[in-house]
Amino acid sequence: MSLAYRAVQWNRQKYIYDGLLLGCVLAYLGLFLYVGPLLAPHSEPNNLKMRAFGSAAFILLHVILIIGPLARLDRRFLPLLYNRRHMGVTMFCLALYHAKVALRWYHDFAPIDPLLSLLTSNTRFDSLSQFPFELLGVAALIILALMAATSHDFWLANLSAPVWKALHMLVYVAYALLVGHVALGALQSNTHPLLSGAVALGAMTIVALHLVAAARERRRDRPAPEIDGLVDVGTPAEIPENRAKVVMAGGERIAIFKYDGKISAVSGVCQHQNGPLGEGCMIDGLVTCPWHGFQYRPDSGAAPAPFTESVPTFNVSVVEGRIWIDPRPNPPGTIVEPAVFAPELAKAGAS
Amino acid sequence: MIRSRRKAHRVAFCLLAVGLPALLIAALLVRPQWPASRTPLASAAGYGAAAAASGRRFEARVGKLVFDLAPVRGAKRGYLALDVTPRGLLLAPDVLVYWTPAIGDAAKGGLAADTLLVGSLAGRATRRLVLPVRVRQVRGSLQLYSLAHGRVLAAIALKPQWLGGRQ
Repeated sequence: MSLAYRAVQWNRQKYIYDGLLLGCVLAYLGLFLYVGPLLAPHSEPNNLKMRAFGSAAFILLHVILIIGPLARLDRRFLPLLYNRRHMGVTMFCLALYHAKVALRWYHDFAPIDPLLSLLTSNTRFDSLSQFPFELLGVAALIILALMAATSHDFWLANLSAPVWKALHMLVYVAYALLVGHVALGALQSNTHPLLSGAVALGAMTIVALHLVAAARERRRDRPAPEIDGLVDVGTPAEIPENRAKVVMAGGERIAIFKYDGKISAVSGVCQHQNGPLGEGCMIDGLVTCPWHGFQYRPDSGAAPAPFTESVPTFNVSVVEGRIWIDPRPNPPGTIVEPAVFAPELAKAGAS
Repeated sequence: MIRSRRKAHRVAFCLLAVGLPALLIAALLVRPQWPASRTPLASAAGYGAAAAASGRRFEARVGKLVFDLAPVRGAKRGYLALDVTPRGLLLAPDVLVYWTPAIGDAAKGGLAADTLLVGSLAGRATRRLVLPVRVRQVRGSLQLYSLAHGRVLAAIALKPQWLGGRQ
């Protein structure tokens, strides 16, 4: 992809994903806004709208945050990761509308500007029960706005992956601010145990899933032992055909792919969004990232034309039936001759 | 995800694992306790004798109101929570609720300098208003005042036995 802006490339999966997302959001809002008054006839319409959109955004944020660790723990959740950024933008739009209704409801028709009223009307920073919880929501909304505005790959390419990823990690700060916003806001007057329980359960689920996934990843991060500067990966039989074995060496994960009687080693980190290349597979002779389908040639680490991304490659050899790799990476796009362990298969693959 | 990002996630979630429960528990502990009212003060059907006359008057003027009174525990000790539920549309615009240390005709005259604003009665939903501690100490009345018309619509004398305090 070039550094110039390109519009969203729609495909069938994205249409299905976004259709389901929109359907679920509309169903939730419809239930809240139309069934809610039947259960609570004296509810104020604006109050109901505020709660509908606010709760929808809060719930959607929980869904967004659990997709990551779930995808690490079970590959069946990977399809949810594919278009997660559309979910994030939708969540921001819901939150923005909630903020707009709240601002008008509580701060309109006053002699001062509503925004000024929002920022200055409550200065009880010394009290927890009367804390200006609205400001926590404002701070979270600003972070979510920044993330929504930079959600496109254009920003990923122009800001560089590390900067972009660091920016988008602010979602955790936004989440903490929003838990504070709800806990010091709605939960102060709404004492129903179901509501408090739901907020607590949501927070604990997100934290627990991330910690479990982190523990699992930590086990995989144990560096492989080096002998004379080389790393023993194992035998070719240990690697499934068209799949990879991942080892930790030289400070990062290396993916060793087996295909057509040959072995190639590339960086285990995708250039797009640092996805786990080693958990992908070979499709049409190309290493394919399981997150968004970015592809690279196994021998050079370069993406096929017209794409220009590339990942580092590693020297690899097969000696006495065992695979050895040099953990020092070659510059991205460097061609490395694959190690042949089954010449007859390699010839068949070449033809 | 690259190794440094995995490490950053681990640190972030260790902090959240400690911070979020602490925040939630603190927020739940400090929230004021608003008990459900179980001692109805008066209703449109059965007001106390002292308020019966004014009750009839304000029923005709401002519609039916149901009052419930209960002590407030937690952050605001000594305060009383007054739940006011309109049984129908209030037949007056911009109705405010005041408390005055006056009773009887003096309370119906108008707003005095020592009158305290308690809240507003706009809309049809139940309102929870907070009566100050002084209500228990000094005998007085609730005034229903129309901001638009600039006059007291009705006054309801608060009986000591309703407030549970010394007067």
